[in-house]
Amino acid sequence: MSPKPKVAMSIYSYGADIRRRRMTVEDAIEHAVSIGAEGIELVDKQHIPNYPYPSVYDLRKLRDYIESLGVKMVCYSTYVDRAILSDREATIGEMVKMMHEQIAVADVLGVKVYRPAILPSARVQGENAFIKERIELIKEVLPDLRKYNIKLGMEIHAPMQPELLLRLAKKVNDKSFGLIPDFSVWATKQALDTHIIGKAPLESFKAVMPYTIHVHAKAHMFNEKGEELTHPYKELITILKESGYDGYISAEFEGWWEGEDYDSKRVAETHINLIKRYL
Amino acid sequence: MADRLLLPDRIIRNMDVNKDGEIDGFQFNICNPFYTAEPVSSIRSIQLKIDGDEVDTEKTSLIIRNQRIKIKDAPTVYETWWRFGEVSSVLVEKPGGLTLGKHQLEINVRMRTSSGNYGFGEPEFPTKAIMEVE
Repeated sequence: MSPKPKVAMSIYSYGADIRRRRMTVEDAIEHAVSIGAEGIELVDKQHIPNYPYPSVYDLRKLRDYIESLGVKMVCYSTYVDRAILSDREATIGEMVKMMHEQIAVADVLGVKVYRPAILPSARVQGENAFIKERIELIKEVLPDLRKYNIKLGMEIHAPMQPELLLRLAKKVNDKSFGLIPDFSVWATKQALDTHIIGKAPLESFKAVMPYTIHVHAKAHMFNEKGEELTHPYKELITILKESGYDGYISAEFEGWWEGEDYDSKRVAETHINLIKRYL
Repeated sequence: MADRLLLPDRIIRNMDVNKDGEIDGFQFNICNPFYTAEPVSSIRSIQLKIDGDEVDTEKTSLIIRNQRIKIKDAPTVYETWWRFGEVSSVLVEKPGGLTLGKHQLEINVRMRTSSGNYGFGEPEFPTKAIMEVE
């Protein structure tokens, strides 16, 4: 039997309820597992207890809770902050320090895929500068990644061009590095003003498959039949299946981020059912 | 739309800040309106009007996990983070506080983003509400 992708849930999807304190992170994890999530993804700035200074106790307790439900944490999504200081951007050294700390947290959490988000900067202009900066950062943490047996996944997220990240993956050429395509790159319709859509051709999704180590199934809007209206789910999941990808597809509902309220549990269930329907 | 999340309740409390038996300020709750945790240094300003009258920023503080941080000092507070969905409070120094009953609060929290440039400009969260002083 050929390998099949597995379904995970990014607790990001429960943002509407967590930010309103109607659900805790643990409530959301429990719900995600109850509706069939085979793995859990967490976002550092939303879900890590006592952020940004969790104790090892905090992290172990969270990991133990996830594993008590019979699943593991499958991706740790973080932000490498350029602009904490008011008067200047972070240096490469400061960004590397953040990444080292995040990889250590990932190791305590028992997670094997680490996604650092590195946002645009005025000082990094153009594709060559983009590649150069990322290679500088990745090279510094590769020894840690190899030691901890963790892969760094660079997310391909709209408005990035998949060809650029493919170029990066080929240059890095290391089994501790891969790509995390986010469906937003191949989105066909815009749902919110802040919803950036890539409208990239499906061939470019096929092209990144050999380097794909994790997937973000982005969603913004469902209809009453449970279909997602802004991304071509059937086509993208078919490509994943046919490529032999056997990692996780992590459901990532984002409709809540501007402040709209949702019943996160209902949306999460619709989302997981949609992915499973096409698997 | 996250401005709707900024005020989790409609209550203002008069406070005896220096514990001398006299009311010298007032305080109300605010919730982090951004979609992630942010360091306090990301707060550019908290602009307030009570019943149309502007509040002096020099007299305004954020109380976050029992730490009082004057808003004018916020740009250098890098190590204390306003967590995702966290309710903190705003304290305004005002001898005698506010009169009991209803008051209109206009508030705008302007922020930077610590991750870098999201491409949408710096977020701000203007909102207004009728608050009750208890």
